Amino acid sequence: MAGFTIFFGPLIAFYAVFYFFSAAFLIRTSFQDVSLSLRNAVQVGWENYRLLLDDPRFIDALRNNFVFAGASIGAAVTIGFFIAVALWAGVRGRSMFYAAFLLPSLMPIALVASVFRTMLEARHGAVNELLRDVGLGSFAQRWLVNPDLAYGVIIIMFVYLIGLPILYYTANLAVINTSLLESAVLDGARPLRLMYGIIFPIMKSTHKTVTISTVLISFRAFDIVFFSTRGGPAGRTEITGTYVYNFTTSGTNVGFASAAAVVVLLISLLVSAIQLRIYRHEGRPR
Amino acid sequence: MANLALDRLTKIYSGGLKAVNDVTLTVDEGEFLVLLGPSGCGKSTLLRMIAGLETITEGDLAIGGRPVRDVHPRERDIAMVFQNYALYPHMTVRKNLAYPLKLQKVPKPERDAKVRQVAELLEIEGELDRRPGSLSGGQRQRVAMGRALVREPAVFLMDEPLSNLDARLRMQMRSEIAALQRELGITTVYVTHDQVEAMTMADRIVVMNEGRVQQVGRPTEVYEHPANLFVAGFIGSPPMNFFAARRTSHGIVVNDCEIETSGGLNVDSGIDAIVGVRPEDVQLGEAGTDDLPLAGRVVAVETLGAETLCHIETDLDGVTVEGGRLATGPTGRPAFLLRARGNRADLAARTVRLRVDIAALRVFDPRTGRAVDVASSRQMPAERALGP
Repeated sequence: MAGFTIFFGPLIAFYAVFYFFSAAFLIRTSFQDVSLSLRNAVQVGWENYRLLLDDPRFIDALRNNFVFAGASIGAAVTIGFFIAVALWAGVRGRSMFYAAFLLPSLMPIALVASVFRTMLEARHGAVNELLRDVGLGSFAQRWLVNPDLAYGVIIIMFVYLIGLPILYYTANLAVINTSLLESAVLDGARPLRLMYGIIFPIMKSTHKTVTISTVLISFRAFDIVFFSTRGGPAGRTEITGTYVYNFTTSGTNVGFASAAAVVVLLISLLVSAIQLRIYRHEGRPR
Repeated sequence: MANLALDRLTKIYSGGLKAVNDVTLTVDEGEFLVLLGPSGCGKSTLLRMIAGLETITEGDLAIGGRPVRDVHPRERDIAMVFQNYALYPHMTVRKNLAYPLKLQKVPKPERDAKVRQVAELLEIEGELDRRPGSLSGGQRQRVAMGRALVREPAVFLMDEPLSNLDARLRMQMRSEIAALQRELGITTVYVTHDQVEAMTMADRIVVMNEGRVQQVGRPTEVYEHPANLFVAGFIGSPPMNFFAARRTSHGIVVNDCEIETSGGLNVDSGIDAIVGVRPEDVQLGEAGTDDLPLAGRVVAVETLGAETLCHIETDLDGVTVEGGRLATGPTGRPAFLLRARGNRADLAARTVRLRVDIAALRVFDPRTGRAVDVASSRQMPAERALGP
């Protein structure tokens, strides 16, 4: 019993304060109209939720979450997979490429996003300066001001953070049964065929790992958007994280932001549950 | 179907390791050739060089008269069965079998017909819609064979295909593969470290050690007339008995027996000659006129049911041979092995008289390890045997 207390006590205390208390606090606040001072709260029932679901900006933010997660997954299982296989199969300067793809994933996302923002700044950003220097000034854009371009930039940033999937695929490739590939080569498979006909399907469990980790990361990727566009222009690149942040810090009604946070929490739980279910139904790889 | 010609094939790895050293061989059309040797002898590397999975450092290779040294593996018209079967886990048995045909762009109806035909031949029709993961070891083995057969390749390569099966299944598949190969007449190169597989399946055996070919010959030839100490010690279980012998002007003398050799023997090694005899050529009983008489004490008995292995200490200078070289001097005195029929547990700790068929004695040069031809062998006249 003493051992139990020593090992699990701190953990239980930690969970009690940061998970159970804060979740309960969040849920309670979501039914109130209250300022950031958290005083003089007025019970408003489901009013915050009703307002929230009527707000097209929130629905857009939710949709953006899914779009960005989808883009991340799509890039991970295609580009990430391809890069991992290409590097594994032997490309000159392999370690340099590994560093180039992995480094951004190891750096704080806030830093990466800030660098992107600085580079894409319309007047003095490196991208536009470069375009003007090589005589392509007409291609210089207001990257983060034009809503569609900003949207594209955010997607590119999500895709850019592809290091982790590459790492997962590389780890799997290291333990792949090479006689399987040799057998396919003797059967007459050419490199591309080998890649999509044999290597891709036998890495099924890695695809699952990549998908789940990418979804979880992109749902929490507050910093990518916050440090580049802050959800703008005009809420075009808003995700639920920045939406909640913007409403909390505006301080008018923390209850409303809390309701948004609760909805996002429920959706995350739902997505996780669906994934776990798929996992269980597919069974373990033999 | 095609013949295979290996001309001075050599493989040197980047670290300087010579895995395959100057191998020249021809495999006839329809022949079943077995590459046999201990692990690390270069047999698998040689097979992979034929397949094109390893580059050839030196030498030439021709399949059906066509030089293929620089031809890509998929253009060599060979099929290979791997030790772990290498079945595609995400495809059904049917798709596994059809895969090479699909890549060759064989039309679907023809493909289906061939798959059915091979499945029937290997008796796996019932498993066509199953995945490899749900098959037993024996069934996987058959599917792997089927995938190689379905292409009707010029040459069939097998890399220890039975080593993952249990003993009973291995015995069954051994005879099935050999029968199938004879029926279809496909030129086959088969790698194994298991001498029973080699002896039972091969038309010819190639014994390899340290990257070099030690002997090429029919199984009985390799067994009865090993070309050197390595082959003599490697083939046969329990292994051959070796002992030292004295040199005379025209041959060697073992106890009361004179063996005239026609090849030269080196004199400067510690002992004059090494003589080998298989355990089954040693018998209990009084020596006749064509036998070498021996006396000894049984130090251990192993009863195997059908036969009994007796370890006997004799007055011969027993020597140990390892990897084709003399491992211990005459002082080592390993016990002599004898193979007696039936259960002879009663022999334990007894003093016995033995007779060894003189014609079964094999003589080796201790320095080069090479077998020395025996011109004649006979018992010595009594007066010479007794000595002055």
